[in-house]
Amino acid sequence: MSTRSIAIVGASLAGTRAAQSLRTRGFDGDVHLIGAEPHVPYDRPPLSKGVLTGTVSDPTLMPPGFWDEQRITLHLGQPVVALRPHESSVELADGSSIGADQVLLATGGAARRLGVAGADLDGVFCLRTLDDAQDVKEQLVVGADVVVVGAGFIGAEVAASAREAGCSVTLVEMADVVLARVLGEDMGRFYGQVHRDHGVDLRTGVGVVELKGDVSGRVRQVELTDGTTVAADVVVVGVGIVPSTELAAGVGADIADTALGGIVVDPFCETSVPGIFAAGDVANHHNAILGERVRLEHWRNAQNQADAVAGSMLGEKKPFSEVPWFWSDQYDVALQVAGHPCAHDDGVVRGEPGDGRFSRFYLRDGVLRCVVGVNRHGDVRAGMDLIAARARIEPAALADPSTDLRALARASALTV
Amino acid sequence: MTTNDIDTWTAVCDESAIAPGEAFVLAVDPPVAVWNVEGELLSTDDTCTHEDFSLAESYIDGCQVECALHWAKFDLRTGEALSQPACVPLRTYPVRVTDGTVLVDLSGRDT
Repeated sequence: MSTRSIAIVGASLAGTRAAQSLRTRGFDGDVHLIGAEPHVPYDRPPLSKGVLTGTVSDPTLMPPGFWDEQRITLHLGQPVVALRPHESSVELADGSSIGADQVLLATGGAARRLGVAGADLDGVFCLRTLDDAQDVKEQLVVGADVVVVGAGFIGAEVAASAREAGCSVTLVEMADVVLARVLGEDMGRFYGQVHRDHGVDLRTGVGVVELKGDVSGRVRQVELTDGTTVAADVVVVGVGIVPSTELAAGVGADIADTALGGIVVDPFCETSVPGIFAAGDVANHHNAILGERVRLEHWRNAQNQADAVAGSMLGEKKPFSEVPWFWSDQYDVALQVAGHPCAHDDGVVRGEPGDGRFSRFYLRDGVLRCVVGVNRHGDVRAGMDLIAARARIEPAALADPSTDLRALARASALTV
Repeated sequence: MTTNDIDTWTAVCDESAIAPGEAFVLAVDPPVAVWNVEGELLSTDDTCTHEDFSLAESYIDGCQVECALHWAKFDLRTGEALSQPACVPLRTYPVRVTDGTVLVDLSGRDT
């Protein structure tokens, strides 16, 4: 059966890029892009940075005329409640149906809630959507007491943005070292110091017991597991996302029961139910370069996996596998990471951490697996090619700033 | 040189200051880059059209540059945006070398 209509569930970056890519690849049928949020598709990375500090007023992804020109039908503010593969349709919350010979699930995830008393008080926010970001921005007034719970990338970026807005910021993290799980201990310590240097009251190794409010129901205090209490006008919770797998589960598609979670897809981004695909934050896929299953909450993965899945839906059998890459901007510290850092891998430092410009390479059995770069974009970019080529490199060569990594990358690419 | 030339061409740097595969940034507002692509000098805006980042600080590959922030790619000859997330082309400028000095013509900027 030829595909005449494709429904994309989730109108964020992955959904938008998939729709765009279907057209670029010449698909002439109907493309429906369905979003639960009322906004035209927007970019999420600025939400914890520029939207909060006011440097980004409009994170909209595409120019206004794009959707009509490309004949992409937007259904906004319309959650999909069920997939009906046997009827070639999807059902919306208002009871209507949209015809769909194939479906792409780009449903992402929802912000994880804090499971403590007081988590629903006024003044407690999470940060996942544009509405969330606009609500938080209104609260970031000079002198406000802001408590950020969770020092992952979103929490750390919100803390940095709140400091830039002149707030008094406490950053609370359960782990002993911030970002250690994703960046390694020494990089985590570097980031902890960056936040302290910018005036953040960083509390590590502690959790939240309870959020306490005043008589009007507004949050006023955060009680921590070490017995201390922190004053709060605003609490922003950044404790990760829960992948939105309900629609896939509803049609019996495999859902990962590992800690990663997500909708299980094959190398072509297809779920266990034929004709239903998944991409972006929600997709649990095997990464052939790293040799492990991953579920990546990364902007670049959303964009590139969406492009790949569009090809798969049109019958191009090309497996998707790329070196994971993401960035995080906090204050004047621009982080980029390629590959997956692992604390057990051998680390090599290049550059001077004291200058705030350095990178750390991780090797396993002599093969480069990851590069973490602080204000060193070039190292990370060249490192990506070296990781993709599964290059064996002498640690001393990586540590030597005079080694031309791009030349090494070009030479390695030739030997793959 | 004609009078008109004197009015519109801006001196950038010595020809020897830009090695092949490298770029020189002229600190005007917004900044302009002059690229040495295997001996051929080309000039474009230096700032990525997607977000505010110096392309000269990015990844030059042949006659393309790939922004180090988010991987937008541009053709340095035509300025064309070659890949997501960029969709707006870079402005390009005529370049010439006179007596070992690289000059760019920025007169098209305001139009």
